This record gives sequence, C-alpha cells and structure tokens, in this order.
Amino acid sequence: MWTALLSKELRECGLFAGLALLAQMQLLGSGMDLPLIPLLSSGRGTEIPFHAKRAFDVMSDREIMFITIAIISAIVIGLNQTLMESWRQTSLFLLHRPMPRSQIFLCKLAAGGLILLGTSALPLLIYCLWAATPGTHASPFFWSMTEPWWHSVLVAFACYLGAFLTGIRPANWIGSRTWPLIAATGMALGLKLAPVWTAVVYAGLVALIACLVISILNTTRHREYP
Amino acid sequence: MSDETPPNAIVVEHLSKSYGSKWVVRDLNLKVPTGCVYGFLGRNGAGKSTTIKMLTGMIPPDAGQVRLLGDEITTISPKTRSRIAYMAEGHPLYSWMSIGQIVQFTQAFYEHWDHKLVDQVLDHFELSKKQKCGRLSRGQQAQVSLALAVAPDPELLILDDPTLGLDTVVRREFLEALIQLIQSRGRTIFFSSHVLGDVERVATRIGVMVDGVLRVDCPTETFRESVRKIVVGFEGEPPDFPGCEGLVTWRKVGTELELVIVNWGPTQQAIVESLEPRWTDVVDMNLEDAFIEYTRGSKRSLPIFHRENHRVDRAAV
Repeated sequence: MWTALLSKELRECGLFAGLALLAQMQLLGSGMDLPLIPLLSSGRGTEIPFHAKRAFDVMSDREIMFITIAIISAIVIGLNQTLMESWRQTSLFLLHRPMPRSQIFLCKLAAGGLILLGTSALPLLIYCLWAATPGTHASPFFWSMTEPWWHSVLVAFACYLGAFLTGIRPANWIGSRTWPLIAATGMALGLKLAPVWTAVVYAGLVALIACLVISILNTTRHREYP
Repeated sequence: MSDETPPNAIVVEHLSKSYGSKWVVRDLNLKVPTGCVYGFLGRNGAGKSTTIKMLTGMIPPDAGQVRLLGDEITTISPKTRSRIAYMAEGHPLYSWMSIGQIVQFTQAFYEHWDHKLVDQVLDHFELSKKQKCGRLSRGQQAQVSLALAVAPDPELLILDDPTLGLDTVVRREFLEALIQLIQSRGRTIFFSSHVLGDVERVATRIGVMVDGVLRVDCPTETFRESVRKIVVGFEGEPPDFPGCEGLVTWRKVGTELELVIVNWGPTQQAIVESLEPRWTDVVDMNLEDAFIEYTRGSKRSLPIFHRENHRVDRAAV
C-alpha cells in the first residue's frame, strides 16, 4: 500500500516536480555551460561555482536563484498535496482506507521529500560533481564549499513542511492559516543566513523539521475532514 | 439452538457535536443490529452527514463514543476498518485515474479483494476500465464507488446520501445492485437519504434526525403505521386543539383542523370528539408523507394560505 500511495502522490505532483526540475537544470546547466535552453543562458563566463565563505553578501546570483526555485517548488508541492485532496474531497476516500492515518500522511511527506531530493538535491549533486572534476573551471574546489547549497535543500524541505501544515490546518486564510508557512520559511532562511557555526545551522534546521512533522501528525489526528 | 442475539454492528452512545453555540448533533444514542438495513433520515442541516462523518472518524465528536464492529472509532484498527466500507457524499474519486487505476490503487490497501465481483459490477453497469474517473457522470461515479466498496466484502457499509443527484433510473439500478450485493450476504447497511421512496423500499429500520436530535428509531413499518393525519371538520371556525399524548403538530385550514398524531388511539379520539366536530377523517400516510408531517417546521405555511400552525413537542415513536 505504501507503493500505491507513493506512486499516487508522485503522479499528482508530477507536473510541478517536472517544472522545478527543468528550472534547476536550466540554472545549474548554465553554470556548467550546458544549459537546456541556450537562448535563455548568458553563459558561465568566469563565474566561480562555489565560494569558501557562506555570508549572505557573497552568495552568488546562481545560489540565490537555486534556493528561490527550491523554496517556491517546495511550497507549491506542499500546498498541492494537501489542498487538492480537500478541494476534491478525496481525503474522505483516502482516509477510510485500512491504513493508520499517521502512515498515510507520513507517506505523503515521504513523497514530497523524494520530489525535493529529485528536483533540488540531484541537480545540485551533478553540479558539485562537475565542479569537483579537474579542468572544468579555474578556481579551487573543496566539498566543504558546497555546504551552504546543501543547507538550501534543507531550507526548502522546511518550507515544504510549512506549506503542508498550512494546507491541512483548519483556519481562515485571511487569519492564522498561513502562519506555519511564514514561520517555517522565516526561521529556515534565518538559520541559513545567520552568522553561526554550521553545526548550529544543521541542528536548528533538523529541530525545525522535527517540530513541523510532529505538528503535521498532530493536526491530521485531531482535525475534521468535512 | 442458540439464544444469543447477533452483536450490534454500530453502537453510538451520547454522541454530541457543536459548532459555536449551535448543537449539530446532541446526545445521540443508536444501535444498529447486524444484518439490518438502516435508513437515516432528516432534513437538510438535521445533522445526518455530521453523524456519518463522526461514525467513520472523519469528524471527532465533542462527547460520546462510536463503536463499529466492536472497535472504538478513535482507536479502530486497520483490520476492522478493512471490514467497513464507506461511500462519502458525492462519490469523490481521483479524476486523473482511470477506473482500472483506481481499482488497482484501492486494492493495494486490502488483504482480501474480490476481483471477479469488481469486474461483474463494472460489467453490469457497462463501465470500461479505461474510462477516466474525471469524465464519468455522477451516476457512473456512484457505480464505480459501489464496485470499490463491495470488493473487499465488507461486513458493514456506511453510505452518505449515495443516490444524491442521480436520476430515477440510475438510482433504482444502484439500489437494486447494492441490495443484491450486500444484503444477500447478511451484511449491515447504514445509509442516509433524501429520497423517501428509496428508504421505504430498502430499509428495515429507520432513524429520523430533527435539529440534531434522533427523534425516531424504529422499524420502517412501525413508523409508517404510527404517524397519522387526522382531519377534523367543523361548521365554522375550528377551535384551538387542547393537546393530547403523541401530538406532533396541529393547524387550522379553513373550517378544518389538521392534526398529526403518533399512536392514534381511543384516548386521542375521545379528546377530538369532545370538540364536537361535524366529521373526523383518519388519513393513512406513506413513509414520505409521514416523514414530511413529522419533520416539517412551522415555516411551511405562508400567510397567503390563511393557515394557522402550531408545533408541539414531539415524543419519539
């Protein structure tokens, strides 16, 4: 049943996941001089793929674009997974299946996580491997330089969970409904950009993600499905 | 021979739900015996759908408890849930899936799945597995939902207004198939409906919700036979009715007095005769008439009809 539910979720998010993947491939492909659509790319020029520092003022345009695409796609996927189900009233169909409610929603979150890995982490990994290959660019490369980019994937996942919680939360849109999304995005970006140790950033993001998952499971247990 | 009575498929105790200060369901107590076809009736907003959603665990109650097939709904195990089918109002299906895909998707959740039965039901309704759910008519969606509901061979089927929006022919076909598939196996059906004719034909027992309170819970036949309309004729203006046991409502219509009474008998007859009418007529009612008389409020009489209407506290049948 996990396979069936995962396939359903992946299929339902296919369009947005595809668009997000294309956007990241165009962005990071341009950074490798291999853009999907050359007309939309100004070329890599003398750009340095990864920097040694992680302060906001030295974030490259490409890194800013990468995190923007990752966050937007995460929010769209989180809302799509929840709002579509309640608008079509298919939650009544789904939640009556003989599977614990917590497992149904964990499966949805797993599908969302897989989509984010596929649309953000996978293109980033390819970009990192390209940058790690000698002779591809005239700048030093250490894997530690890629760390801020990986934080971005975690930030996107926190935003996804915030959007998911907003989607299932029984509150007024013009009211408190969007608070989880706003709070998750603000806190995750704050952690990423704050001048603190890397370990603190990771610990903070993991704690935020854990809080959001617990809150999601708690909401699904107590909310009404009208 | 065993004296044991079959256990109740549904047990509801003191179930209540309110939104703000308004009680949608208030202190509902109900037992549905195994093998029973229970018709759950009520006007719009009477609390039927909320009750059904509380029965299936989709809405948590404010108070009270629900047990389905012996399991408390808040802690119901997946195994027990697999023995219960639920068809939600409007028959929600994933519009992007084909019938074949939704059958395959639903099947993945059940240990026991009767492929042959699904094929037979789809074949009976002339549905192809290649058809997209989003392109099906409302009646066809109901038919697909029925196929999905019966395939795991459920012991209890809960249906929220399953024939809502279906035309007469489709409705009849749907109900006949439902009865054939489920009741012949001694299964329990709990369904809400607005179509009294369907309920009359199918249900062995009915419950009537009025303003969130279960006013009637009895065999269908008993309800129909208990509620009587008494038309009393006078020469001039009829007098006010003094009231009697079982009186649901009374109103003046020209020179006539119309009474709706539960369990019409000699006591009530004596009270009516004490008013010295010219004539008295006891009108037999079908389930629909009985239901309407029992549940409609005082708003239904417009001043233009020059009717006076009086509501009386009703006692459950």
